[in-house]
Amino acid sequence: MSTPLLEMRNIRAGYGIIDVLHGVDLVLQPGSVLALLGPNGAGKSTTLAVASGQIQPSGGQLLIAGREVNGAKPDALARAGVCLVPEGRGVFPNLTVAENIRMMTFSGASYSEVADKAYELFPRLGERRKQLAGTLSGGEQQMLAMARAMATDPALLMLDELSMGLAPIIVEELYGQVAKLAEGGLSILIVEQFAQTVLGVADTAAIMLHGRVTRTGPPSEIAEELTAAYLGINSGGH
Amino acid sequence: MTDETSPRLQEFQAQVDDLRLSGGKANPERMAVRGAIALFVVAVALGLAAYFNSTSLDDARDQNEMIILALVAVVLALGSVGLFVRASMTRYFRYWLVRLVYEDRANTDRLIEAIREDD
Repeated sequence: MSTPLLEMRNIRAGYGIIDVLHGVDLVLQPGSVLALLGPNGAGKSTTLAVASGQIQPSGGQLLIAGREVNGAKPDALARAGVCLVPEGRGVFPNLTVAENIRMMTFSGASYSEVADKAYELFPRLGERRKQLAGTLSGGEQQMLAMARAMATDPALLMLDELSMGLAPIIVEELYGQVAKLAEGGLSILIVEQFAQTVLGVADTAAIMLHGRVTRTGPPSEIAEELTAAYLGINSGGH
Repeated sequence: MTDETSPRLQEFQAQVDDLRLSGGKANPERMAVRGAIALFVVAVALGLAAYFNSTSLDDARDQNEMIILALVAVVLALGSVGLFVRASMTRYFRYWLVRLVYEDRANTDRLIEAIREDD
């Protein structure tokens, strides 16, 4: 078994005095796609915030590429190649598409290099490069967020609620791109509340409830248990 | 799954190995505030101890030592106040920044909505 790209061991974290994660265990293997599913308030986004260094865990171990990185700054992790596409828009609404993409030159890459990658991935963005990001449709804003993420050549991509507020056809288009990225060998952790589409691209899936990962397994098995898990029926998870 | 020896993964591994870690403390400002309060209590106790001790001393040299100890207590107290203010302000400004970002986003949404209605 290879060294996991991302591993959480008994991670505890929260906001101030409120604990949200009560001992999360999670493993993402290199080049695989892990779907983290769960109802609203389960702690999925907090898990991503911990993995990207935005929230420091109060207990447990966060390992990236086999190294414990508790205490690593989010900008340092981002420079290394840990990239989070946050829930919602995650774009600068009052900047143009091109300016948003220019923001991703922080890692030292030239603008043309970054822009070429972004427009190749989502040609529609190239047509709208002078448009304010806030005036794009929800789907286009998600494309922009993903394009910005990919422009930094991440080794670990984390997507938070990619489908939120989007039409099913747009969600399918976005997940089509995710599938292509996964085929290219990128390690991807996807957090979703609604599971149908994401289970089609995931290698492994996990159910999160009340700040803990209650079940991990192949997407086909998880799909069967998901409804019971959401409704709070004991499905015999580990 | 991909080959673990792919150049990008090797580069990633090297970058992660080079990361400087701060020790993984959760909520450093809260710890700093608590530390500042503890330091202030120690400083006050030290100052009081120096004062009460000095009243029973006859030799001026011994009293001078207590004065020095009291000055150390004053410096500690001032340091703890500085630490408390710094940590409190950091927390406050962080929330303030988040609020500004949120309001800016909400304002942009309102503008975009208005522009769309005009169209």
